[in-house]
Amino acid sequence: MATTTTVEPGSFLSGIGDRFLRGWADFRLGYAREPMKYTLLFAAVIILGMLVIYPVWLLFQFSIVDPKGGLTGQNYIEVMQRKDLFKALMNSMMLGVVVPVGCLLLGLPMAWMVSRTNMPGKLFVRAFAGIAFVIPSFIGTIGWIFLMAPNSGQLNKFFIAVFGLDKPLLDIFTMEGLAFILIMHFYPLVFFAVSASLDNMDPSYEEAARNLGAGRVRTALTITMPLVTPAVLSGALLCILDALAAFGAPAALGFPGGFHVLTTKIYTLILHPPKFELAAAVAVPIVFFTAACLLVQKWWLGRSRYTTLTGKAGQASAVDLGHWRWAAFGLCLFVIFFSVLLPMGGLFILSLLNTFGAPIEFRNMVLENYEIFFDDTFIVIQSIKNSFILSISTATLCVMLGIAYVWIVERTEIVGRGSVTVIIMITFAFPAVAMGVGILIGYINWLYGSLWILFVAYMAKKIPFAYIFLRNAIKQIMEELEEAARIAGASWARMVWDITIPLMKTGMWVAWVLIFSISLRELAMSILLAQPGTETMAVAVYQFLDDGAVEHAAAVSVLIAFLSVATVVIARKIAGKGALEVD
Amino acid sequence: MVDENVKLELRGLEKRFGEVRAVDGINLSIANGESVVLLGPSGCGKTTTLRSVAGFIQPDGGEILLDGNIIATDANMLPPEKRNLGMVFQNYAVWPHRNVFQNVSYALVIQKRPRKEIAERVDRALELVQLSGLGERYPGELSGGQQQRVALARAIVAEPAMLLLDEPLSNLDAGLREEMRFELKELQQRIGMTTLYVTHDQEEALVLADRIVVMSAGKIEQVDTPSEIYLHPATHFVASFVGITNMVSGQVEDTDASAGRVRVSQKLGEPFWASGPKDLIGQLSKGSPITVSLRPEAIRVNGAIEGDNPPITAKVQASAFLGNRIDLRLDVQGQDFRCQVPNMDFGDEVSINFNSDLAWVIR
Repeated sequence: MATTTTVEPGSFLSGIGDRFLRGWADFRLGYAREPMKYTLLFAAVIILGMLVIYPVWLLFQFSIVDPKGGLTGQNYIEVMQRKDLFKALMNSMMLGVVVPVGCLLLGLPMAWMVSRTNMPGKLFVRAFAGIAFVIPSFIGTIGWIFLMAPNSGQLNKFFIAVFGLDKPLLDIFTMEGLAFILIMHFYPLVFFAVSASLDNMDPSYEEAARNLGAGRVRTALTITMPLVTPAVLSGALLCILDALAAFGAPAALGFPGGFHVLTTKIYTLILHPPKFELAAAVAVPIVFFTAACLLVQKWWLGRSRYTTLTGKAGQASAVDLGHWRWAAFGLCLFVIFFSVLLPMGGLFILSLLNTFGAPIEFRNMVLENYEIFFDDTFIVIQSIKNSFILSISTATLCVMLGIAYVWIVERTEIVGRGSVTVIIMITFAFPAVAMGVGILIGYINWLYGSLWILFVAYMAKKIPFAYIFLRNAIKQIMEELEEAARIAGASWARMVWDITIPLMKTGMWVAWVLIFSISLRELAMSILLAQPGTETMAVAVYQFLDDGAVEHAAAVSVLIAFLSVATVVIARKIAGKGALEVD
Repeated sequence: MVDENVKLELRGLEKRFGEVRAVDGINLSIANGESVVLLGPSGCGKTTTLRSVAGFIQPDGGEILLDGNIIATDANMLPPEKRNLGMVFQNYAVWPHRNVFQNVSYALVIQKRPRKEIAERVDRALELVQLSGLGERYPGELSGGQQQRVALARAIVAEPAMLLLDEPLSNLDAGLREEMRFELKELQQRIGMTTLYVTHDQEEALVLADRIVVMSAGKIEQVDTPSEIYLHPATHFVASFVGITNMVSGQVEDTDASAGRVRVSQKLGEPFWASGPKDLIGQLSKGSPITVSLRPEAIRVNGAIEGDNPPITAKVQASAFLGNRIDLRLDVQGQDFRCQVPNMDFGDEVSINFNSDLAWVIR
């Protein structure tokens, strides 16, 4: 294969084609040597294509192809001309700016106080920041509706009673309310990224600056700040992407409040009559934007200037805040109160109230909302069953496939193996709603109405989690450990079973529990794909909310919140302290 | 043409990594029961050669034969597990999730041997490496040296056709490394297993090898017994890589092909006699440029003149006390010269002399 130095049109594509052919040749060569191994690996690659490439390709295709099969820009033109879509775009962009800014304002000072000062209660703050992140914003929203609905909200009632206001003070069914809730759930992204970076920073960098005569402030500005900048930016970037991809909270607030963001608009475009091509034309630009953000971040982090960050961790000297340390703790407590205690307390009380607007008095507290868990005239029992079936099978298969993918990438020489990483990261970059639309278009004729279509969607979206954890795990296994098994007479499969899997066990369990956890509460794709009989727990919550049965929604939400926290606690137990803070 | 006595044979072995010719046409045959060491600096292709034999790397050219059967070419290769080999890795590669018994017994379990036989053979292997009674321990509870012994026991327990060792001692402390050298040597002689050993440590190679293969840049420089490699290096590279030497370049003044000697004129002093391979000396004529390798310990300082070589005067530049000897750094007409003396009994200027047998002519 001659290498061309000039860039010709199509040379990029022929380059891909060439790599594809060489990769295929590698597979065939490998098959001749070790048929079982290469059959399994090849099957895994085909599955990846079906799960990711096929729906993603269809999504693009639907956005640019007219019903007769010709190329068209009509869908994009229509998207740009429709006022409602433009407003949704503006709203999404507003979230994309306000949410990260709010998250930085909360997350940065908290990270500094937890990692670099003698503030009390650090573990407490870390734990509750974790809980705020783990509880889906959709679930928190229900608590906030209970507290801040314009007329019946408990806080509004409280303010009207205490201050004698003539109209409600707060309205959660607004863009401001939405931004507030998202900030309360996403600030931990900044907090954990920056505090992990501060904790892992070799204190000798700062000590060297102090030693050369720089004061505390100067050291913080010239040494510490630049070193944590990558963490700050990646935390903020995740806030932007999560704000753009959020579906549950905007749906719960926006439909009653009469406003839309792009994700909720995509959902309504899928509803009858379904306009797949328009939904695709809305989704594709979000996908591009997300992918561009991740690429820019990767390029930026890849610049060698920041590679020194992985120094040995040590004990940095804590800044003595004096009496201010209690004020610092008070500030953190304030954030925790508004991000976890208040909404979750509200949610729990709501789940016990006999009617939504009833005063919070003991005589109004009942357990009858929880009867939906035992009454099969409601969809709850079925939805719990569905969620568990889906989550267990998704987690199990993702981990199994993940082993094949990390094997291909880390342990073979197959040409083009790097594209496995690219494909998997594509699904990571995909907003769940967009992935849901792709899966819907791709599999509607085969699997619609069954749990299978949900399973396919879950698999496609959750594989990156397995991949990231398993790749870390396999990187820590010296290849010689595996080679020693081959030399001793073990076939490839036997070696994977006897050596690789046992040594990756921790990573596998962590990945399994996390995928189980995030699958259990999945909403954005489930709501597009679920049909009567295949609802999941989050779908049940959404439907109760839609029907105005807020107390019932709250009861199921309490279960989801409990499971979300419990599973992550289990994952942490398995992984050991700190192991989950890598991400 | 299957030679019963040849265990392993490499014929024109080649391996490229991109543009780099890691192994560039190697021919080597190893006899039954022989211990061969591949010696060379990092990147010389020795590990690539070993891993090709093990079956982890497919050659780009040439053939590998084990017991007369072709096990690898550029088109076909037998997977590692079908080659019946034992291997000890640089990082021990003792499985941390299996105890010593489970590590050592692995190959026998895969062969589905009866449980009783497995227990007996593992016991015997552990005894050979002096780890009797530690079967229940996990690798995390063992020292580096003990882990290396486990790796060794695991490699030999199934009595493989050949034992491969990839820098097995390089992760050990200096003292332990020296001890293990002799133990390995003794073990190899006791079980008589054909061994291919890779190292960059020349002392290790000198101790362990029946024959040493010195490699550089993917090619074999010399294959010979340890003493031949040391005393009669075939190339510049071998002379300078194995041990310390003084290189003196000059021209042929006279040859004595029957005695394998050549008289060399050089700028250090009067012409001297050096010995060399007879075939080489036969090709030399007066005035041909040649190089002579002179080991430091071959040089006598301030001693009685032996043989027919004239003494050379040298200035002492520096001396270092090394306990059992003193290393001298001399200046002879501007050229650095290393030699050794037993005591500090010398002045600023010394007279050096060497026997023509110990000065070796290099191609």
